[in-house]
Amino acid sequence: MAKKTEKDNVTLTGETAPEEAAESVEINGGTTRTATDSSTDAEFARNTERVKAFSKSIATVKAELAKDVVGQKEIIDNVLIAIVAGGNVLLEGVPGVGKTRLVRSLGKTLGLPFSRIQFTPDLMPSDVTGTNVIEKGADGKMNTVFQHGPIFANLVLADEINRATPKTQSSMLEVMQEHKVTIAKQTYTLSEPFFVLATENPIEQDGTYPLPEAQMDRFIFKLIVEFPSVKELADIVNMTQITLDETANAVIDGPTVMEMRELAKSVPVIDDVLTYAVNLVSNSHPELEKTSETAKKYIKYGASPRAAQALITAAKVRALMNGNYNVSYDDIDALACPVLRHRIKVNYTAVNEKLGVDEVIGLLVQENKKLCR
Amino acid sequence: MHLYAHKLRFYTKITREGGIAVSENFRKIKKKYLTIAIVAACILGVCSGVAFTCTLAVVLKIYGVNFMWALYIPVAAALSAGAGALFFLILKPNDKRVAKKLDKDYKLNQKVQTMVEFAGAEGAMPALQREQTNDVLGGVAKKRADLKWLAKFAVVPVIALAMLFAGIFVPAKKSSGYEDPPFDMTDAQITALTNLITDVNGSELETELKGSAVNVLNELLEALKRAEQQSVMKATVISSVRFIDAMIAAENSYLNIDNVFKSDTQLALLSTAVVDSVVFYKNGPLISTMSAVNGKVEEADAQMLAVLKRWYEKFLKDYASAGQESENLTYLPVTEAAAKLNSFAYAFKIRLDDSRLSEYAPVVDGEGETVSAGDPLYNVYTALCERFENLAKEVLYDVSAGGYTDASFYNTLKGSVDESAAFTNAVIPVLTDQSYNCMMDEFIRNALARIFNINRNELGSNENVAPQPSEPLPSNPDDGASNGGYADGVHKYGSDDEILDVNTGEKKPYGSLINPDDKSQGTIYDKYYNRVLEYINEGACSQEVAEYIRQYFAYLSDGVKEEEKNAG
Repeated sequence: MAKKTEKDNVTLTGETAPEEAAESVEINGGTTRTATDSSTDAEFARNTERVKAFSKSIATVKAELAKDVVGQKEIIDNVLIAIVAGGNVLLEGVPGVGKTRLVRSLGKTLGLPFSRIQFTPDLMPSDVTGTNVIEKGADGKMNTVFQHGPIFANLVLADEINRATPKTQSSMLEVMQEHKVTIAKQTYTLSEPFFVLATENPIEQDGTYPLPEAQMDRFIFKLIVEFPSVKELADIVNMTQITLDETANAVIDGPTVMEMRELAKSVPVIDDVLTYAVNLVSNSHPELEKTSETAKKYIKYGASPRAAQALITAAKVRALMNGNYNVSYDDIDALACPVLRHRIKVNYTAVNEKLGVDEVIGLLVQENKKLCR
Repeated sequence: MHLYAHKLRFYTKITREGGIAVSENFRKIKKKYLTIAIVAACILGVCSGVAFTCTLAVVLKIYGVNFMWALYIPVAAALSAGAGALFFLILKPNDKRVAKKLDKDYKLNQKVQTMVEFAGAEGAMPALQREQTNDVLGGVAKKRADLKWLAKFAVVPVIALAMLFAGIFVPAKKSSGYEDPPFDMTDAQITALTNLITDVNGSELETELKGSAVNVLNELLEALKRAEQQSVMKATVISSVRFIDAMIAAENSYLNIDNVFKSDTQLALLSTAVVDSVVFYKNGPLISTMSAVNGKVEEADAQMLAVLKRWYEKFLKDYASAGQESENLTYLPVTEAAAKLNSFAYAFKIRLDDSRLSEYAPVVDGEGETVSAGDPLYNVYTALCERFENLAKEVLYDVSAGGYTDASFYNTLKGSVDESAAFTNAVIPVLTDQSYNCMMDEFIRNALARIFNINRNELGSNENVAPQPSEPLPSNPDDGASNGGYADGVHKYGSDDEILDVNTGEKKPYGSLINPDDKSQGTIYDKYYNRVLEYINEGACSQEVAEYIRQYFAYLSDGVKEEEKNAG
């Protein structure tokens, strides 16, 4: 249940329209409308307010997060986009850049329960999802009780997911996909919004189990957390000298996030932009007859159709976050790297030419601009 | 209704506050673009019309095709209208096109396109999107429209300007068929024509005829002094030539009389001999000088006599044929010969009495005085006819009395037509006069053609002169030195050698290849001479060189006099 706070609180949900008595209302130069129309008008007005409040809400969340997380603005934006879009995020970054702190602060700001799972090679699937245990009841009988695993939270940090065995990884990813846990034929639904932020340590690759491409596809974004700048590092040091605890307050709640998710779905996308996004994904496949020169030259495997879905969904959220009520080419371009970098595999030609996957995606985007705009 | 409701929603205030339509800014901008499109289409249409029309003009000029300049205006107008309409179809703004352009030019991140595409969508999000877009467009509508997109059409007026210059300054191809260069009679031409008039005046033409011809030539001289175009000059000269042709034809009677007699098989040979005698000079070179005329006249008697002799030998053959030895004649029996001669005389009389020849008969008044002497040739024919008639009657009367034998009859008949007899002595002077008229006509024609560089073919054929002798004339009895060509004793050509006929590959005498009247060979002369005249008319060479060329062809046609040749 979403909590309301009085200070800087924007309420988007909760009020149902009261029934109104039948009356005539003049609108738009004399059209007479009945009482049933007035309820539609009220709903319309509420929706309009919600839409207008969307970007304000996001701005408020960001402001709260900034109290605990220094810099990383792009990461924060993309994480927020992923949450509203209903996806999960894979973070890649060296230790100590604030990944855990980010998720914790996010949980506080959104007023959502948070949990952290540290993946190790000996972690079992039941350690993630929970398991049935036998307890002695008050009546002395032995009962089977399901102990919820750490997965049963709204925000989950899956730290160093690539250290877990494929079996444990698969149990995690199944939850991410379906938002359900099935144990001993019993299904437990996770509460919405459910968001997983998984991390990968790019340094310690020994003894790791890289996520297969099919499972990487479950993440809407893969974000690279860069080492903070000198100034940012100084701010971090100063801030953590005062307190290590997160000081952000809850400014919105879960139902609000769900409302925002529904609102984002209604952002209009014109055919040209849709075609642009679809072409970007299609042109990443070198095996297709009509494809881009970049794909033919540098790409081994292209992105799946989920990439196109992710692009559009995320673009809608991004547009709304920036105060726009339509998706543009710029939204697609801005999200190309986060959406595609974990879905595209470059070939040896790119490696030989020292082109990383981000550079290849950049070339894809440039080529797509020339073809489609 | 549902569709119209969407559209109504698009154009009405969405925020439920009433008032101005949301898309009014978009409509303003679209209207601005429409105005630009109309103006641009008009300008580009006119430029295209000018470009196409001037291109057409340049092409027509290059190919030398005449086209009234006034017709270019409706052509240009039609092409401009068509091109303008086409450009308007290309430039005409529609909602989608305008939206795309606005998003691109003002970096609106597809706001306008979204507004247009979701014009009928209901819901808070589309409504807010439209409102947001309209607010943004408010600022855009106040700005001047961006015209940079028209830069790609700038090539059209540039091409139009280039083709306009080309159309004006590209010179038209000179076409000899339509060109009418100016004519300014030169002093040399005046002198030559004056000399011609003098020659005609000093000729032996009959006085009245001579006077008329001189008058025509004097009028020609005056007319040509005033002429300013080549076409006028040519037409005037040709007209004068035709006039002189007609005068000569009216004076000569041989052709008209020939037409009456030649249809009768018995009389055709006599008629042909008369014609061949008149045109005997045609077997030689062109008559283009007075000396040529006079030279031909001097040989006229001998030539005509030879022709007539040929005729009467054929005529007499019907009454006696040579035996195995030429001196032995086999005579037709006198009764039969008399009957034959009677028949001939009868046919002769009938033809003479033909109504067409009555105009040539002498006219005697009621008191027996001769009012009109009649045509001399007709009179000679009449005298011959009477002789035949009388002889036939006499023989028929005396044949029973045995007054005539076969041989005596034949000899009497031979005496009537013998070369020293009355007929030949009477007819040759008459024929000489008429031949002289024909020669003078030809002389005047050739002289005028040469003086004014007119192709002889353009003067037209002289239908009033027989084209050619029907049989080759006997060789000139006085010309014992003639060999290799048509030398006439006065004129010899460059040499008597044979030269190669390029058409047949055979060697032929020099003169036969340049005889203009020899249809199989003489066309070489005409072909090259005519072509040279064309080049001279087109100004291919200077007047001095042209004069040399003309003189050369004159030598070819007239030959080189013996004294000139000897002088080197």
